[in-house]
Amino acid sequence: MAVRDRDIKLLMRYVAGELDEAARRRLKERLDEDEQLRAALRQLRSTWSALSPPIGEPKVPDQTSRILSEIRRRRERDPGVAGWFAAPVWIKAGSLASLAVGLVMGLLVSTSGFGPPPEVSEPSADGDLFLAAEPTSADLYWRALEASSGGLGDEQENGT
Amino acid sequence: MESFGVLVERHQPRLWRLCERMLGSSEDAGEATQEVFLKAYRGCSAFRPNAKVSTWLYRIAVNHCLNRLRRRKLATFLSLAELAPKAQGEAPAAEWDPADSGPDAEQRLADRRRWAQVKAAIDRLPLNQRSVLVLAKLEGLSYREISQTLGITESAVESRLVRAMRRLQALGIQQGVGHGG
Repeated sequence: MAVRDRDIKLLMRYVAGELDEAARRRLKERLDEDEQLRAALRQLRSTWSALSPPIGEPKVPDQTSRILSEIRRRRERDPGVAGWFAAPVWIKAGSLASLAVGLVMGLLVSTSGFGPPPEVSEPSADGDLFLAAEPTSADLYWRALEASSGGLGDEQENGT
Repeated sequence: MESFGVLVERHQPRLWRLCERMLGSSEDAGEATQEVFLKAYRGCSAFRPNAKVSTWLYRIAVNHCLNRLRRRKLATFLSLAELAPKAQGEAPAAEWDPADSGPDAEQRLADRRRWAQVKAAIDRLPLNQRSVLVLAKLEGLSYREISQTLGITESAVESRLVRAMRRLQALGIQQGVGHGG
């Protein structure tokens, strides 16, 4: 019978040094009785050991000064970008929130305009047109035009 | 900047080694280490004080190496010229130092050849298995530390490590036995 996945994981934890003392003892007891488990452990250990690097590995070069001078160089070249990345989270969050609010407001204004149009009251009995709101310069212009031409018909006024 | 300099000085050797093991090349490791610290400098505001600095740096380094390996795979796939020497079984120049002279020269040469084969086998692992294996075996991190570094569960660490080991066994990587390629 092949070794179960669960047992392979347990053996792997054992090889990697992840088991506590009690778990190690329990596993050793099982290993004493189970030849297949022992064979699986031997294989795992063999592969694990083969992954150890040779003693004479290349020496790690000291790059500290090179790294720091590169950081300085990039910071001088592009301070804005470095500043943004280095900014605290609350500044970034605040900036993004302001941007979002601005976008939403822009969207609302563009879809609904700058406000409702001025309400036009019903023409009075003598045919004069009164605006409920403060007359604009365009209204004043049209009124002056009407006065000079002797007044327009009701139909035309309602159409404007 | 001075405190960041201390950070670089303290962690640079381990990060260089990690990058070298992930990327399989000393030259790439040098560049990658520099990029990792640049990213760390830019993203230092994202560092949480309750996390370990080394774990945070390892996470940046592993992600950087994985991105680099993905780009390299794509470049290899796109470039037929790059495939040619690998198909002929040539090892990268950095892998083969001139042989030493002396009584242990043969042993050292054999060790280097064995290590080159191991590295070639590790290179053939899927990236998610490779990163777990490198962190567990070559960097000596615990399952918990690996899970924090990679942002995955301990159970996922365990599964990936076992799969990596099975694949290496299938590739003939065993101590004291002839290594397959």
